[in-house]
Amino acid sequence: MTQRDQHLTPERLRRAYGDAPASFNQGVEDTLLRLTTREEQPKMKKKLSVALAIALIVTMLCTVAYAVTVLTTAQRFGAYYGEDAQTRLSAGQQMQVEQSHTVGDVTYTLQDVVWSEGILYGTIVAAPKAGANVVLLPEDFEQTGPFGYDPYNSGVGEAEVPADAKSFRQVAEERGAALVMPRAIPEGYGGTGGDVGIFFEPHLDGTVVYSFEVWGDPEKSWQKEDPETGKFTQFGGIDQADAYTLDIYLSAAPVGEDGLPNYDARIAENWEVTVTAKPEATKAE
Amino acid sequence: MVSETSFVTQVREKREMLYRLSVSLVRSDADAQDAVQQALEKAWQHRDRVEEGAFVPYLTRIVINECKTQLRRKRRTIPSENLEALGGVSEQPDLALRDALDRLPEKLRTPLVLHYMEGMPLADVSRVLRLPESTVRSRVHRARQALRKAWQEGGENG
Repeated sequence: MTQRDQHLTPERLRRAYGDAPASFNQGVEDTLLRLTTREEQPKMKKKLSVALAIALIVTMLCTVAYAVTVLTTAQRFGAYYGEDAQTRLSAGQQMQVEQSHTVGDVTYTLQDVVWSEGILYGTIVAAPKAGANVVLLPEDFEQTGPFGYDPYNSGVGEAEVPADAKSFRQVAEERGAALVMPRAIPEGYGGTGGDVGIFFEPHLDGTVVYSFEVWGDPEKSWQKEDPETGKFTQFGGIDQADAYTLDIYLSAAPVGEDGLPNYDARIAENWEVTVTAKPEATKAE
Repeated sequence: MVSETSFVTQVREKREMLYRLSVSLVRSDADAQDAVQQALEKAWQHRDRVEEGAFVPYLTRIVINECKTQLRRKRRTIPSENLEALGGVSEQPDLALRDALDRLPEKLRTPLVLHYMEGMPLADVSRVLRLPESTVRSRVHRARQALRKAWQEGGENG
């Protein structure tokens, strides 16, 4: 063991980043002061048209109907990253999908995949399996949190929570249903590692919608910024092709009365799914 | 539900950890500060829906999300050698070790930072990173091996 090796303690590693600079600490304190002293603004409820309100009520009443219209991957990333992302993904190579796979009491449907600039983007809808009496509780969400709303406010879920919203646990108890925690995460691409990003949120129809971006081979990925224009360009490590095979980790874990998933009882599978280009899909690059 | 007092206390207690985590991801003090402040805003808005004992993993997850959002919006890499020139670092960081850490893939570095460096329990890291505990354990192990190798190589070369 070398002298260097002996010093790789947690304390030593923490020193690699040094202490937080004064500007960072001051920024945190300023934020805390602002948050704790500002007046709470009453949350504005979105104005709902009569038709939309009726549709919403019907959706909530139909506890076994999960055929909600999900935004496309381009729309979801547009809401998450901004309009440029939606424009870019809308012009990307659109793939034929709508394939489903069931794990435990959860059915996962890959509804939409787009290749753009070396990166695969997609959306997966998790819904209770037909006939299964379960309520899906997404990871990071609390059983006491409002059912169907998105406290992480990713921009695509319903963030404004009405005062009378029921919790996941309450909905499950009313239905005599079990709480189940789903998971859907791609495992990179082609065994090359590389970055995978996801965001997800629950919806009032009981689904949990996941969107992902898979960068592929990190050796081929690059990003650069034009120093003069500030324009940013990027490219992932997945070559354009007529078909792509994704390896997606899927699981369903029962949730205990304490609201925590029981990972020992989790059912998990890797779903290998191949998507092919739509006939009308043009070469994006 | 996280009370106002508890929110402030826990944020102050974890401030250094949040700094190290965020700067390990975005590699810039300014971006780390932005990411943490954004995360605090979001966590504050939803503090009434978070259980007290789950607050730190919850906040950690939001900080990671904010860091990744910043990276994707503004992909840029600032070599650690330039950090001092930006006036961002106060207490003499170990740049050689930091460089070795920066060379780890993010999927290995973040579990290492959270579990080994910051002492977060495996179960919490698993929840934060949405990975099975066994995967977290394995990544921490691989990260330590890779870091040791990178650091020793750095020592031989430097």
